[in-house]
This record gives sequence, C-alpha cells and structure tokens, in this order.
Amino acid sequence: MIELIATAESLTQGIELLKSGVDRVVVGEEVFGLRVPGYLSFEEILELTNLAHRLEKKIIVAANAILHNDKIDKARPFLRKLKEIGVDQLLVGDTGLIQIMKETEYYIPYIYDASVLVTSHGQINFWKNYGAIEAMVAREVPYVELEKLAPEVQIPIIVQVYGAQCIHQSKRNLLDNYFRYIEKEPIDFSKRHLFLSEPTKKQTHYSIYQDSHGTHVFANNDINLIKHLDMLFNIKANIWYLDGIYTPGNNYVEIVKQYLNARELLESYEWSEHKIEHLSNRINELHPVNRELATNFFLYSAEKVK
Amino acid sequence: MKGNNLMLKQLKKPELLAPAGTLEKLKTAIHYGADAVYIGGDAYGLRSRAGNFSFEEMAEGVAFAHERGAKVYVAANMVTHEEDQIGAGEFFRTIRDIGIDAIIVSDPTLMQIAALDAPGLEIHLSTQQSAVNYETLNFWQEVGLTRCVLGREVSMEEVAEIRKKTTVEIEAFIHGAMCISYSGRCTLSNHMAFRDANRGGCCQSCRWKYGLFEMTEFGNKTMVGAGEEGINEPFSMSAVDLSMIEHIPDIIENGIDSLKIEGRMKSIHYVSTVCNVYRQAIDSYLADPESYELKDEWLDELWKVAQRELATGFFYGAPTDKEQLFGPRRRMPKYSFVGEVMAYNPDTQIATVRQRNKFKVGDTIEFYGPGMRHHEEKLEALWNEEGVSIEVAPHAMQIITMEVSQAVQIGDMIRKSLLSVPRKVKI
Repeated sequence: MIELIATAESLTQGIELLKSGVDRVVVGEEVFGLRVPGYLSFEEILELTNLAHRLEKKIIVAANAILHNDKIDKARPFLRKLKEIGVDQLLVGDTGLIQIMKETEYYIPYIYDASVLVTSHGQINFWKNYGAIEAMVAREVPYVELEKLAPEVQIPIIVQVYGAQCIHQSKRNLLDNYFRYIEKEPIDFSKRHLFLSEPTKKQTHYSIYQDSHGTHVFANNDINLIKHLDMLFNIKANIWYLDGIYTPGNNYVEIVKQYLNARELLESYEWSEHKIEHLSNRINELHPVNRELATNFFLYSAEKVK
Repeated sequence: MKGNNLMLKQLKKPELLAPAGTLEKLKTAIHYGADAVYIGGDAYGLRSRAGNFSFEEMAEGVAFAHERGAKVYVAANMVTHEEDQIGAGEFFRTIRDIGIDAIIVSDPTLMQIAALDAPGLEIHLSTQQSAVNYETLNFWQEVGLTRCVLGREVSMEEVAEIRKKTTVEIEAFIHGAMCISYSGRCTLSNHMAFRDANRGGCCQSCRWKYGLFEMTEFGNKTMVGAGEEGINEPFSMSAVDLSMIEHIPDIIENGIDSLKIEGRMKSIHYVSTVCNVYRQAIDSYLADPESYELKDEWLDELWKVAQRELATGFFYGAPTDKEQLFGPRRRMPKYSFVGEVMAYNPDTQIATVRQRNKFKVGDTIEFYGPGMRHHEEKLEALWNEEGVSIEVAPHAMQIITMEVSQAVQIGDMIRKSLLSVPRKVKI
C-alpha cells in the first residue's frame, strides 16, 4: 500500500488534495512550521482535520522548526491546542520538542524530519526509541544507500518524490543584510522569485528566501522522481512526500494527481515506461515556468559525494 | 554590591578548550593555558583536511595532557550514511583505552555505538545538532551525554536561561570562524562541489560571492543588487569571526562550563596566541572579579592572529550586514611565525632558536610566551649552529642563536610583523 503525503498552502488547497485522494496533508503555522508553503490558522487546521477524518485521511502539522527558548516556552500550549484539534501527526526536527513530548499529555505521533541530518538507519531507529513513528530521509541519500537503509529501519521511511529541496538554513537574515549593505530598500522576500548563481557557474539557480526562521537556500533543481517510483516500490519505500513550497495553486494539485495515477499504476501492476512518460510530461507542463526538475541525488553512486 | 553577588554565586572556573590539529598544536595549546584540547582521529570527524591523529599520536597527546592536568577530546561529529559506521565500535573502544576523555558526537548512530561498545567513554553533543534550547539539553542529558555544545545562534540571554533550567555541562564557542548556517543544516558543499559538508568535505561554499537574481520565467533573469546600475558588490553569506574576549565576565557568570576556540586547521601561532589571551582573561576575572578590567594588550594580541574582523556573533543580538564580509577585502594584520625558543642561557643571555620562517639581521621580532610575556628585539646579530655569524636564517628548522635583552623561556614563540594594521574598532 503506497501512501502519499502532500503539503498544502491553504485550507482550499488542503481540501482539494484530500478530495483528490492524498492520504495525508501537511499544514503549518508560522511559529513552529518550517518552510511550509502557506500558514494556516488553528481554525483552518481544525476544519481541515475534521474533513480529513470524515474522509478517513490524516493531517500532519509541521512543527519542524529549530526552536529557541522562546518557542520552546510556547510548545506545551501549542501541542495542547493541536491535541484538542485532533491532528494526527507532527513533523518534528527539534530535539527539545521531543523532550516535551515524553510527557504523555503532550505526545502526538511524530515523523522525525531534521532535514539533511537523517541519513542512516541507525539514526532513524534511535528516534523510534523516542516516539518517532516514521522518518523523513534526507534528500542527499541516494537510492543505492536507500536500498541498504530500508530493510534495517524499525519504522517506515518517507521519501520526498517531488518539490524543492532545502540545502541550507541560516538564522541570519542574509537577504536583509545584503540589501542594507547595498542601500536598497528591503522587499518582501517571500513574494519574489529570487535565485543565487555560483560564481563560476552562472547558469545555476538556487532559490533563496528569508522568513522569521532565517534564510533558506534550495537545490539547483526541484526533485521529481516520477520515473523512478518503481525503484522505491521495490524496496518498500512506499510513503511518498510531495512539497509544494514553490509550486502554488491548482498546478500543484494537478501534479499530485499525476503521482496518485502513478501509485495506481504500480499497485495494479500496470506500470509501464510509456504510461509513466505521459505522467512525467504532464508534470513538466504543470511545474512552474521558472523552475527545473531533476532527480538530484537519487541516482548518484555512493561515491559521488564524499 | 556586584562583588557580593558574585561571591554568593561562587563562580566556577570554566574550561578553556582549544583546537589541536596536530600533536605539536596539542602540546602548544596546553603549554599556553588550554585546560583541554579537541582533536580528530583518522575517521568519523568533520575536518578531513585538518591534521588528524593516529592512535600512537593520540596516546602521546593524552599522556602529555594528563601529566599536566589537561583533557583530550576526540571530535567524531560526522553525520553517517549507511556503512560509514562500520568499525566505529572498535575505534571508540581503542580511543577510550588510550585514555581519551570524551568524544564529541552529533550522530545518534555513533552515540549508540559508543555507548554500547565503549562504555565509560564520555559523550559530548556536537554543535552540529543545533542545541539551542534548554529542553534539547535535558533530552541529551537523559540519553547519557555529559556535555552539550550549544549552537552558535544562542544569545547570552538564552544561555542564562538554559543554565538555569539544565544541569548538563554547557560548552560554547567563544572565538574563531563560524558556520553561516545552523551547523549541520547545510549541504551547499554537497550540491556545489560534491563534497559532503557533514562528512568532512565542507569546501566553505558559504564564503563564495554569488549572483542574485529574480527569475519569473526560466532563463529570463533580472539581476538584483550586483548587476543593477551602480551596484557592484555581489551577494555573499560570509561572516566575520567570533570573539568574546570583551565578555569573559558575562560568560563565566552565566555558567558556561567550557569555552571553545574554533580552528583545528589553524597554526600553532594562532593556537598559542588565542589560548594565551583567554587564559589571562579567565584567570584575571576569577582572581578578582571586582577589579577585573579588559586589557588592551589582550585585544592587540588577538588582532595579531585575526584572519577576519571580530564580532560577538549571536550573543548580543542578530548579526547585521556589519558582521558580514561585504566590500573590498579588509587589510588584516599579517604576522609570520618565525621561530621557537629551544634553550636560553641567562648568564650569556643567548637564546637558541629553531627557525620556522625566514628572518634576518635588522628585523624586529617579538618573543611571546605563556602568561602573556612578550617583548620585542631588534636583531643585531645571528649565529648558526656552528657559531658562524650569519645575516639571514633561511632554512626551516635551522638552529640559530641570538642575544636577547630580556629573559626568554623554552617553548616561547617568535613572530615578525609583515603588515601592521591598527586594530579596528569593535563592530
């Protein structure tokens, strides 16, 4: 049984995704949610959770931020509120939150997601001992390593199959600082499509934005594993994660539907190159016109990055 | 009143923890006042290009340190991928039996292996885990770790709160270069240079100069900043270095147990100078907190080995553009480490020196040693090992003798100014 998890930028999009057949929808708010495509109020999270439960689906709340003392102070009321709402799961990346969730009254089943730091079965099994129910594998782990990791883990793993891949988070407001230095009026960085290029590779294009969590830089290309889902299926890595942070609106919902179609092809043993090519073409059409897709590290050899 | 409060607090003497890329640096750091050093082994560290220690060198380093009441920690802070952990148990057992006092680890895989295969070996949490709140420290203490290195993003106010709400030992960086990212949360190097930043391959892509542009349609770029009319400075993330020399009282009063100097790849000139200064500052404060004063000579000394301008990182507020390296590269002081004292005869006032970099008659050189002893000498004459007068000492490790006006000690270092730049006003 393959499961699809997709982020939602809004209540409306969350409803669309659930109705489309996505199994779990990820939503977030500003304080605890890191790099979520949009912020939802508690009222909206409640409405979406109620709908999800009616459809026998689940809601995951992104609580994956790196938390300083001020946010940790707010964590218990936050968790209490989420429990009241009845959300099903959390995405968690900060150990402090896990410490708090040792107290049973605050525990919510969580997916361990510390971004680039989840790279081996040993780490995943460690977090299982502290309440993690699943783990999001770092996007820097190539398939050849996933093959070795998958049979050793004691909880299911989640693999990102679509969307932008964060490769750097600084607490510094790097864009603000630069704009201040060049004496340029700061802009709303979340609404601009800003990219970085390497000094010797002008054709490169790493997305960058800044928010209350700091500055975030993303990989040169967004991940798209549509043509390689059978490989994941073969190693029973059957929870697929789609991230819509840079793919707004209905196009994202349509892309998610291509992955739902791919799931159907795999589960009904109708997977074929021809059929998947069709889905892939559709994704390419729907993907934002200012961004490119690639398999990133997925097909690398274990020796490629050392 | 302040004095009374401090008396009541019973200030704890913190550890001064220095980097040691080689055995020579280890000995130098301890000689110059470090209470502990951290080194890398042949595996599991994050500095593949730093000199790393063989087991034999570790044993020698541990013996040297323990004889002097100092400790040796091994950084094993890589983030493992599948199969990287093979052999870790034996590695940890071996270094425990050598007498290593603790390992610095960020990866729970390695923590578990160390706990199971090398019981008794203390584990410290690496800064790579971004421990920036008190509950995180409590978690790791319950796991069995004895110390946590804080993320460099923690403010002094947060340190104070963390101290109040935890009992595990706290270690914090107080001097040196800083990751721009939350440590560990960066794979720029992986993506841009195929070198794994979390497995010892970081190529410091964060210090590059980048193009910044807006692109609403692929390939149709509009430059932002550099490339716009009248703007030449490209986007960069690079930051100035950290220095907390001006805030030693704050650090001690807020209960930081270990003060960490960054830089396993730095020279013995750097390590000796920085250790010397912080040793003085810590001891001076603890000896008499009420009369403690920051000394200009400490700042001057640190400036002699500075590689970038210095600031206080996140300790007293979010760093701004002033703490980033924008604009033309600043002129930095440049000192050459030219030799070390091998012997000194007080009767003749002749010092025997081993050459480390070229110097010559007519140069003004500066001797310095532990306890912030330092004085300058104008070189009037030099003799080689055979007692023959020479004008220049050009050969590495050459043994030279010279007359000095003030007493020096074995192990004292000698530097020479190549380019003197006035110390910049604090950022």
